[in-house]
Amino acid sequence: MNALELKDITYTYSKKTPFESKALDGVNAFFEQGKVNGLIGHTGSGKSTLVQMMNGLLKPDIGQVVLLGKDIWEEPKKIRQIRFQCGLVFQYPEYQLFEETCEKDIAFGPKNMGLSEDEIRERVRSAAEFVGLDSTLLKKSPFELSGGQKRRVALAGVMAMEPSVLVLDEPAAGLDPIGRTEIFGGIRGYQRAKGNTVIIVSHSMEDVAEYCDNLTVLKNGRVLLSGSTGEVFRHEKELVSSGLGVPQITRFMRLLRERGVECADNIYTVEEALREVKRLLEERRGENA
Amino acid sequence: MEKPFIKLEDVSFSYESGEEGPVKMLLPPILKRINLEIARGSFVAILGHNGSGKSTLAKLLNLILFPTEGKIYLDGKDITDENMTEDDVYVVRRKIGMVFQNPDNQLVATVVEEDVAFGPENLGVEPAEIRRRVDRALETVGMSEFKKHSPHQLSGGQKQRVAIAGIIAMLPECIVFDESTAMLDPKGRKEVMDTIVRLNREKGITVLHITHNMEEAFRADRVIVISDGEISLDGTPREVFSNVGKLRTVGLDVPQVTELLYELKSMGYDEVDYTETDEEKCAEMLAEIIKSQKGR
Repeated sequence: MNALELKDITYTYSKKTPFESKALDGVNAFFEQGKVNGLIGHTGSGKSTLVQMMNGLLKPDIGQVVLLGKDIWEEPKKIRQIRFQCGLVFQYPEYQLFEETCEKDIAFGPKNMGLSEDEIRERVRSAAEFVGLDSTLLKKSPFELSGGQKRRVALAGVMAMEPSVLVLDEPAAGLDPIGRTEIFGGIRGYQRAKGNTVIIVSHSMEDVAEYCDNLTVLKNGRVLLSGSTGEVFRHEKELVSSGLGVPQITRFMRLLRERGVECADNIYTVEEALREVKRLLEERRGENA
Repeated sequence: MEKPFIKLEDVSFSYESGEEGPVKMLLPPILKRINLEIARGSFVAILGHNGSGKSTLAKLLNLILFPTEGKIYLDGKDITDENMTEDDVYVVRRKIGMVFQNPDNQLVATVVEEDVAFGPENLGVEPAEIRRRVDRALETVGMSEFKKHSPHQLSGGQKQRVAIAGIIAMLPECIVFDESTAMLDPKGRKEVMDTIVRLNREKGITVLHITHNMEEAFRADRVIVISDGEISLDGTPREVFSNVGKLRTVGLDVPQVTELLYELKSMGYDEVDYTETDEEKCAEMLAEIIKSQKGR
């Protein structure tokens, strides 16, 4: 089942002006319920435009956005409700913190949803736990925290609304490897605990390989590829020619295959590669025994 | 021996706490007694976790920040001397250019070539000479055909290359790239990296490249790892990346292929050389090992 379906979406910026440009051209994209879905594409491929379609920040010229089986533009006056169901975390969300304490900042969304005090407290606590924020930090001003911690506060603020679909635009941009692992660990923890759908927009092939179940690839406003992560990364040539690539390890396994090693062609994490190479080495040993 | 181009002597740096008071309060040091020499024409990658002090180091080099303690020498001249005039500071900033992370924050003009001309104009360069420099700089970064374009029509990688051209037009001797590839897509990253490598190899510009990307660090001659304000590793990419354990303890990754080879080696496949840095050669080696198992 799909939590979110974007059907035949076309969108043009600055219509009827000399700057007219078609950002999306007949895009069909489907995001599976309860999975971590990746959305990748070169700069200007239409990713950000598509993301803004997901919770009604932009309205498609043509096409339909179906969230949990319902066309979000059926009742335009109720579009605010859609924003609670599909939560968006923009790039560098730490610049959007504004409250006196982290706790209040995280509570802002749930408060706007009209939840009870008790429920809000519980939501803040569990969101902070997912992103690994210490309870002592919650009383602090967001401006006393490090960049990585601020990022996690901002993320917790959206998680606390427990949207059915959580969309994150480059959640780990600018973070070091430990920071990336923490952020993605938190996202995965949230997704597993709530069974909700997550959509991650990213430029890092290594990150989407590690954390996404499915991938949708955009190129010049159209969908180039979509499928499970393994299937998509089989198309190295197409990905490279669209300004993207495959993880280094995937490229490396191809180099091995080109040298006559019969290894699988759908490997995209170091863990899998290690398992595969070990298997090959042991198989050979077995033949000789 | 040739004197080092850049030399840091016991350099420490602490930010001031924001609190008002009669005495200046310093936060814990972000750089601790750093000693470092950088040769002219070298290509140095600087790695470190967030908050390790690597960006602070970059900002000290062109005097955006001033060391709390210690001395910095550029071409043997002490640039941290109290008697440095404002003009002297400008000379340093002209010699050591900086390119930052966000491609959208660095372009000021509405036309690409005007943006590139901004630096030399401010230096008071003759108009005819500005023209020459702008054309040459745009050619160097491969952006000549876009000279009449507006920066907002460009991709991230193209914007960064224009930002680089703006620096080159001031004829720097060294450029510091502070995570200049971090916000780009893979193609943009490659464009910018290729440009950086070319500036170093062909124009002899000294490059300091701050990055989180291990594959980019592989392209440098020298890799310096900073952790908690101190230099924890310093050597060729091969030397540095062979310290897989240490890199992990300071919160960094190694390239995926290195990780794979390292794991194989630790499983007892002794013939694996995980310090090899060339992807093709690594594949060659592993393919050989897999095939040779048969013959045993």
